[in-house]
Amino acid sequence: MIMKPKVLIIEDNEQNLYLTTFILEHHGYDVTQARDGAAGIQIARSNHFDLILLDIQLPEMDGYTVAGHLRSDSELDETPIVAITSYAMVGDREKAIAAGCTGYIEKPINPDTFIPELVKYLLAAKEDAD
Amino acid sequence: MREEDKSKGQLIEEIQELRRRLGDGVADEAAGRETGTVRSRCAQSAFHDDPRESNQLFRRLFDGIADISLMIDISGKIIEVNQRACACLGYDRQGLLGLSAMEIGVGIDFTRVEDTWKSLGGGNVITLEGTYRCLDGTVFPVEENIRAFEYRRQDLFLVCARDISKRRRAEAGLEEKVAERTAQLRQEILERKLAEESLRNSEQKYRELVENANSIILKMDGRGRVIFFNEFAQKFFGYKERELLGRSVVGTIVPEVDAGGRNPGSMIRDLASHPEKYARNENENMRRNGERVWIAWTNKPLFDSWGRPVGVLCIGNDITELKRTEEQLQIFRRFADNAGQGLAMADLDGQITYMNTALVGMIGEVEWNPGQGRNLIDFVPKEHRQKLRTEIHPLLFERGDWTGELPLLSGKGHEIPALVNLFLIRDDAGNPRHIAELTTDLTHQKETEREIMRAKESAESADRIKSAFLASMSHELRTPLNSIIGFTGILLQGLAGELNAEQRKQMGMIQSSARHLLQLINDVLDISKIEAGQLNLSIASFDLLESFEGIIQTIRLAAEKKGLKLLLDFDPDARYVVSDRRRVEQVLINLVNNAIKFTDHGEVRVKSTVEGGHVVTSVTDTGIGISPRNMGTLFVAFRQIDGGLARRYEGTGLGLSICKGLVAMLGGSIWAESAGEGMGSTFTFTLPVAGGQ
Repeated sequence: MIMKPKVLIIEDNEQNLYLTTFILEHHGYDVTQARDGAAGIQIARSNHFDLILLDIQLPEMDGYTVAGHLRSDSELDETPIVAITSYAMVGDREKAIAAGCTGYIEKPINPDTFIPELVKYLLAAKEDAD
Repeated sequence: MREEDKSKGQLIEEIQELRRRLGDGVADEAAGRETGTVRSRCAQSAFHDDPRESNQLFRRLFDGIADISLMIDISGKIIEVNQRACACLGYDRQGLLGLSAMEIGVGIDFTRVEDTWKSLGGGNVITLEGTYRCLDGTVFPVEENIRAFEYRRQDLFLVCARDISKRRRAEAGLEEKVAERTAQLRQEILERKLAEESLRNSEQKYRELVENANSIILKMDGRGRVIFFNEFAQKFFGYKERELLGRSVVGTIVPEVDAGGRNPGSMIRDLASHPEKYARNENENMRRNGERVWIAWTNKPLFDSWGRPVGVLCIGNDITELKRTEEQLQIFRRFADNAGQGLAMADLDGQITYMNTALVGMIGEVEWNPGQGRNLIDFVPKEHRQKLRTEIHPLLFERGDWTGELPLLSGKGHEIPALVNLFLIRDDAGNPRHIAELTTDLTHQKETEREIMRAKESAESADRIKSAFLASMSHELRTPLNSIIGFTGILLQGLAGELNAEQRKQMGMIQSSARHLLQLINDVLDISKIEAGQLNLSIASFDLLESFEGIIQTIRLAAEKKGLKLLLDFDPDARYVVSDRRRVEQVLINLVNNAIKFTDHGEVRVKSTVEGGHVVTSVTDTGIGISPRNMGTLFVAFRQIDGGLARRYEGTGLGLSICKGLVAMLGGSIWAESAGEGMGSTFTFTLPVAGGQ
């Protein structure tokens, strides 16, 4: 019996949260939701996740700041964090990586390629852990 | 006494004889002025009565004669003498009587006594000069008068002599004076000769001087005709002296035009009456060959002994070169005066020696003259003077020049922004002599700069607002698109349950429209980033072949759906480039998609080669081609070729414009070629192999 991969989604937009959760759960992932950065950080610290999906355009505390907080926690420094960015602001991708994200996925997400991309990050993290 | 021994008769005879003689007036010569007295006395009485008395009288008379008196017979023997003779000759009477006259030096030539006697006939007197000898052997000069007379039928000579030592001495003195005067005269003559010689030499010297002088020396008469013209002048003007002598200066060395019809004679008279006016003047003269020359003349009027002007002596020096230099200097001065920039010259202490009009105007003054004693530092605002002394001045003397912004302090205390160029002016030896200052008024430029700055700031601010707006819009547009595309994809995947054929077809249309809308948003964002210069590049070396093969692989499906062949012709030399992979791929995808879109039959061929350090990639299709009319607007944003096409071919109309911007940012270029409509087209872009930045 293979354990379901645990994924934390930090996303403020209800529709996007629902869309991502629907795809992940349909593909057999164990999904936990957080609707803002502070909640996401708190949940991440008290649970183990195989991957964190982080929206950059969050209210109050933006995704960069959240990534910084997550990475400052030694328990979380190995967890892959994948930024979901609308690729709108200049240097968003570079900033996301600099803030501690493992990778990024452009919005809008493509349901055809979304799961294979996540698998790539999960495998990479597993190889590092092994 | 011998006289007393003589017989009385003898004496009487002598007396009678004497009387006779005296009566004849012969004896008065010997007796001097007293003779008359004697005679008259004799005439009265005297001798007749007593021969003894008469003898005594004779003695007294004879002795009374002031001259040496001697009676000498023709044999030369002295037979009677007077007291004076004894005194003068140093003998006593007896010593002299019977002595030869020659013994004492009487001048009668006794060898020819007969002739002498005869020559004295008829009362003639011989006057001789001679020398008498005294008993002691001394001699003295005498003048003797010699007469002849008969006494007792005996021929006798009466000699009266006078000592002329005194006269001789006087004469000797005279001669001395004469000799002295003669010597003086000789000296004078000698001196005069020397003077004449020296004068001749000096004249020669002056002649040589005049002839060899490096000055024009010319003399003209009262009517302006040349009467002397030195060698230098001849050479200088090109006239031989004989060609010019007697000719008027006007028409020869003075051009007739310049004389202005003036009569040289009247000019010379004017010169004579106002010499100071002509003492030194500068004229343009003319050489024989017509060449104009400038001469500085010194003129001196010449007068005759009545004070009438008879001519002019002129000494001239060639100042043509000087005049030309002066002229050049004048031009240069005007150039400096009228230059639009401020010019100043100062000595090494900064004391201003020159300011041009522009600078005078800048400092707000009307006039400037060197007497004002201004210093360059006076025109530097107080707060900048320290900098001038400690920073600018040392640099100026170290490097020879300094350029920088330094405000100018106007006379009224205003500060004028200025660009100042200071430099040293050196002498031939390279020693600095002056400081030159070139001042450019930056007031206008500064205002323009401020305006530009304001415009730039406002543009930048507008740009920031635009970027923020676009980012925000992009985000706001994507968020709902995320739902549309995401859920359409899920539905089409059948994750939410199976769809029937019609539902699948309609869902596919929603998905296609949503993707087009997303492309539009992405293109608009790209183009605004490119235009704002905000597109960040990620430059690295990558495998272009791998990248291109990936793209071809992805798009091939679309090409095959239209029945087109998609070919890649890749030169292995073009394999590795330094560039932004994502952007290069964006360009190629755009071009290949376009080619497929506009081609219905045939093929799309991608070809890469290396040419001169660039990878040259061309995308050639066999599609609709491009008309020359549309060629010019191909790469302009929002200009899909014509309205008709837009309906037939989907597209944002931004693709080529984005490609052009991306290729330019990557250091390459892009262009299109087509033989015309229906003839297919080739789009080519280049990339520097080693990267463009």
